[in-house]
Amino acid sequence: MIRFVVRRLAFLVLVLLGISLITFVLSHIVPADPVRLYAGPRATPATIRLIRHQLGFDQPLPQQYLLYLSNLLHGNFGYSLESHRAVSADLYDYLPATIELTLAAVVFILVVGIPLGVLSAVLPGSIVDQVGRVIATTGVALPAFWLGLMAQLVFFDLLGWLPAGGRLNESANPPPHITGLYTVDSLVSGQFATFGQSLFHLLLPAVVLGYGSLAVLTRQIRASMLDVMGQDYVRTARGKGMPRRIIVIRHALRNALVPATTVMGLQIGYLLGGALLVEDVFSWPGIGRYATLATLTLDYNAIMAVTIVAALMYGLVNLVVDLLYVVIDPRIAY
Amino acid sequence: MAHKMVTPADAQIIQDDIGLPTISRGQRFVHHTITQNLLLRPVHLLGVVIVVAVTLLAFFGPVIAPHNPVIPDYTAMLAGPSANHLFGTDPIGYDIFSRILAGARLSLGTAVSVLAIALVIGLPLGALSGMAGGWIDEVVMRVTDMFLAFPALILALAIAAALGPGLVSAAIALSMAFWPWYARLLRGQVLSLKNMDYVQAATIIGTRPVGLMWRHILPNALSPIIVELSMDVGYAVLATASLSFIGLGAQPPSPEWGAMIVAGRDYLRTAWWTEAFPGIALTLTVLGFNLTGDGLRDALDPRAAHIR
Amino acid sequence: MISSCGTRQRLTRALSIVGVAGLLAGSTMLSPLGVSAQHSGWVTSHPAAFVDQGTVTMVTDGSAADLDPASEELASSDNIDRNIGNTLVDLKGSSVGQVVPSLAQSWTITNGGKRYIFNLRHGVYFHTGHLMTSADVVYSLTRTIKAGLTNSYLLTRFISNPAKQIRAVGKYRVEIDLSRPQQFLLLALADSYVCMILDSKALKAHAKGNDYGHAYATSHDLGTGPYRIQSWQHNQQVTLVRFPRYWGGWSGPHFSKVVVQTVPESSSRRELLERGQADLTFDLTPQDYRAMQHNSRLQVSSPYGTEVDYIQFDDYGKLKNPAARQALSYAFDYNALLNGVMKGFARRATGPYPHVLLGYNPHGFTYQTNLSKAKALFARAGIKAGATLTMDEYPSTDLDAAGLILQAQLSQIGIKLQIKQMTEATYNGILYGTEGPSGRPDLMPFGWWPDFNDPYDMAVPLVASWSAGANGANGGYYKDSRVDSLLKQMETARRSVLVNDAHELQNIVTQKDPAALWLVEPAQTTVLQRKLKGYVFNPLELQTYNFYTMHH
Repeated sequence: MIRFVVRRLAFLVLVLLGISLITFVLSHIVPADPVRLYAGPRATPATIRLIRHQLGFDQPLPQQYLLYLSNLLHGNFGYSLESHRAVSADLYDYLPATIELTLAAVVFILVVGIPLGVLSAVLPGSIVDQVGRVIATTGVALPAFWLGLMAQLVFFDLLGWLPAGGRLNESANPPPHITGLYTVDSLVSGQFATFGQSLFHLLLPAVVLGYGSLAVLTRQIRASMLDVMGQDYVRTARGKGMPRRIIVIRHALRNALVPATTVMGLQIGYLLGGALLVEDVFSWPGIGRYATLATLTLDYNAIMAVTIVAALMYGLVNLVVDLLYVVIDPRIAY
Repeated sequence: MAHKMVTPADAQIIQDDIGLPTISRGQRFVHHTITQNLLLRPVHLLGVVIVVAVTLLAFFGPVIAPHNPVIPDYTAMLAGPSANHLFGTDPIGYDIFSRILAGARLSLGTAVSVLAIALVIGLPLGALSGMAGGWIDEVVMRVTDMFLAFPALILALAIAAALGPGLVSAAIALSMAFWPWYARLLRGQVLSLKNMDYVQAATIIGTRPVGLMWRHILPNALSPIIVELSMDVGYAVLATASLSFIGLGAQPPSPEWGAMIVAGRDYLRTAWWTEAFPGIALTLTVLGFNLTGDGLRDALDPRAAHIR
Repeated sequence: MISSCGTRQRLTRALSIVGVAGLLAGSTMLSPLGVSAQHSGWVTSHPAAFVDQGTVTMVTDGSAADLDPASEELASSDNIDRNIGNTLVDLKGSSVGQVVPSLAQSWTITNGGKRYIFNLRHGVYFHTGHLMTSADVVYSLTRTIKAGLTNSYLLTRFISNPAKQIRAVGKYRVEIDLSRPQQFLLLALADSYVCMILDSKALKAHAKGNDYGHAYATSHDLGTGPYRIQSWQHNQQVTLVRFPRYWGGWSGPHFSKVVVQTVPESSSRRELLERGQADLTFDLTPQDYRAMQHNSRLQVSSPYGTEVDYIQFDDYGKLKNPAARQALSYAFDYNALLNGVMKGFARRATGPYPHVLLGYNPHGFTYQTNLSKAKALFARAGIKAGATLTMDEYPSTDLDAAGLILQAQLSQIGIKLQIKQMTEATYNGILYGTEGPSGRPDLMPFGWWPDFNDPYDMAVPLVASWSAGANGANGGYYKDSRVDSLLKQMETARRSVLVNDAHELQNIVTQKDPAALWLVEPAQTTVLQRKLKGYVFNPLELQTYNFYTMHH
């Protein structure tokens, strides 16, 4: 078990190294001079030379890469050309928003997806099954960004039920930064109105972000359930007169959760990618939006940082997912 | 994957690969046979119809479009749907219906390029990995792991930003996200087919690895690849549109569907048609390839037939 | 996507209104002017009590980034600086040429217009708690020049050796010596973003290497203005609260809190205004403005500023011949842009000078769309049907539409216009890049406004041959020897000569040897709640708002 974790972590480090190398190389084919961008138009040549030296851009490439790596180890992602701040300071502001949105989407997917998948398997052909099928079919085809726009049109513009974007109302003060997740911070500091507001703002983006993955999870659970319920031992159990409810929960669902967990782990990557689009649509100040803005302004330090952080998050989540198997299915050991 | 959803089948690819114990599959609930025709289930038929329609549009769309998709009508900017402009016009005065027709070629063309590049990289690597085994296999697989180990849309974003926005760089960027799946898929097939009697026999009579690959393994590994491809065309269309949406894909005035949705974004309230119709076209196309892929899987790959 | 790019380059900032500028000829401005209306709280003998108006909320698609006046270049950063900082002098209300005291309570100009002596206001405190003295003024102006960042150009025109030319004379007096009389120095010092006075103690304490405190000033509030930054979530929200020790005082109705919220979707911003959840926004679509004009709870203010939008010609290759550039000017459909795209929220530009700018010629030459004339002129320049021209552009309401209109017009006479869309950052990288004229597209759209009411200041970056490539905004390497010599003369000319020169320059760069396809002056539209009072528009201070003067 320990060996497994160590091996996985070692691989994660390898992945991060590879990604840092890829993004580093990419950052040097960007069709713009980062120093010029940083200094701004009309900066004097002397200033540009000075900044180039300060940022280490006058050194040979391999040295620049080593410098970048050593800075990374200290949590230093360099300076953002756009915000003129340390990228780490930007991430401190933006990352929690993405984590909150992604977690909310995961909660939505699990809370809706598991019952939906189970019920459609247990009651094939029922209304629930039909709804499940519609979600499963449309979910993988609907572009998240378009769904977001349409959701805004309906729930904000036409009905006026939900806010169009942002994490809180205009002119509302965010709760003190403890975790950076507004829902958690507001609860911890007892600001219940803010808590309600942030939930309200989370609802639409989380559902839009999670809808595609919900489809995949529902499909997976339904299929695995059907699979397991058709197996000999389950039929035997039924033959012995074990109540259907118990069979469903004890045997079928438990077994169905293993592939479902795999799917969920992989979906985190999809959710992080989808966050790029959903955050853009809902003006959600997370790393997705940060990355989008960064690409538009060729802020490559920021792009590199987001890529590495996303890879790190994805790697860790999948490690946790693999460890979860042990909990779900005692037959699995590493 | 980028906008490629990780489907249960993909999960299976990964699960097989990382050697996770899977539950024995036992008897399938819905019984399908390979002979069962793809067109028999109505949803799959719908998928095929959409795919055929979109493919026809990709060839003839620009020809049958009632208006020139890149010549605006200044007298009718943001005009609502009418007999003359079936789906209305956009802020510049472009006819949205004509642009959707013409856009099929761009969307499909980009998707096909993405997958072509992905195949060109992925299949040889997968074959090499499976046939050679040993350290080569190890290296190739770790490289694919690396590409699969982080959110592909973010990778595509980094690549597209570096190459500069445009459909060509979008296609290159996205193919980087798609090739590892094909490498893994073919490797898995090679590994399982390598031990089949007839392949063993061919090896004994001295067939060289390349010949073995061409004559014996590839033809048999084709069906899962085709299933995967048919699904991925849809996802590649979606991923292209996504990159366009964040400004890194198609650039105006090109009538790519994602770019059209961006163009109308500020007019969501005042002119819903600028947003609604390109989105519907996009959704239907992805749906069509998805359903077709499902159907093909049922017909060609019975193992996964019950997953839908 | 207008949303993420709506923040405009500060470089494209311009200036303003007609006429009054003549007053400025240096030596005529000897007397300290009276205190302006908006600062009346300071001098009124019976100050009225502060009437707290609560919170004012602005929604905008841009976000403040860099607050350092020496380098910041976004209108959204200007907007914050304008409220947290002050300059020595201010433009009066909506005048582009008249200045009133601010941190300088009075000034005199002596030595034949070469020496400016500023008497500073006493008892002014920075938000850091430090008292403002002459040392702060000297350091703020000096560092802007020495740091050599984006905005240094504004002052280097007047001051080449700041160590010698800017001096503190006592605790509350600053002298600036010029090498020759300069009528526009006061107007430059009134630039409410570049010439903001910062706390020199804080800057020096946080200086890193040779950066003159730049890294620190980027994200810290070092001003003396009516509001101070309470919190700042980057790309999200800036909250300003009233600074109780503000030297202008707080008598009368003022907002105690200002929230500037980033809402990138223009349709969302419109909705927030319509629901009364926000007080003020700008940069919506012309369709939105049209619709909102009918809402009795809102006011749509659409004055003209000093911005001119245009498509620059590459003075090389196919467009080397002026006839080709004239042809393009004839080919364009101006009405489609003005009425179709802009829905009337714009007026024709007839050259580099907007209507309100000194030097504008109301009788200047204006092109009328004429495709057959265009065709003939193209033929004369050797451009035949089947030829291809190239254009780069970035998302904006009018400029990319203009490209598409031109594309459609040209296709009618058999000329293909190949448009490459890119992000604003990439585009700026090309426009301000070091690439020579042969490596540039034939057509490059852009918008510009001057720093102050001076036709020289407006034209130099665009058409002077020494502003070509990376040295200014003359992205097409335009070079006309007559224009160059006119500009050299204009730099020091007296007003009457200046205006004549400007007229001649306008005629050359429009008709004889066109530098650009001059498109429109867009209206500077702001949508406000009708109950919001005290909004003052200044044609030079575009896309920024002074919240101190506002109330319900």
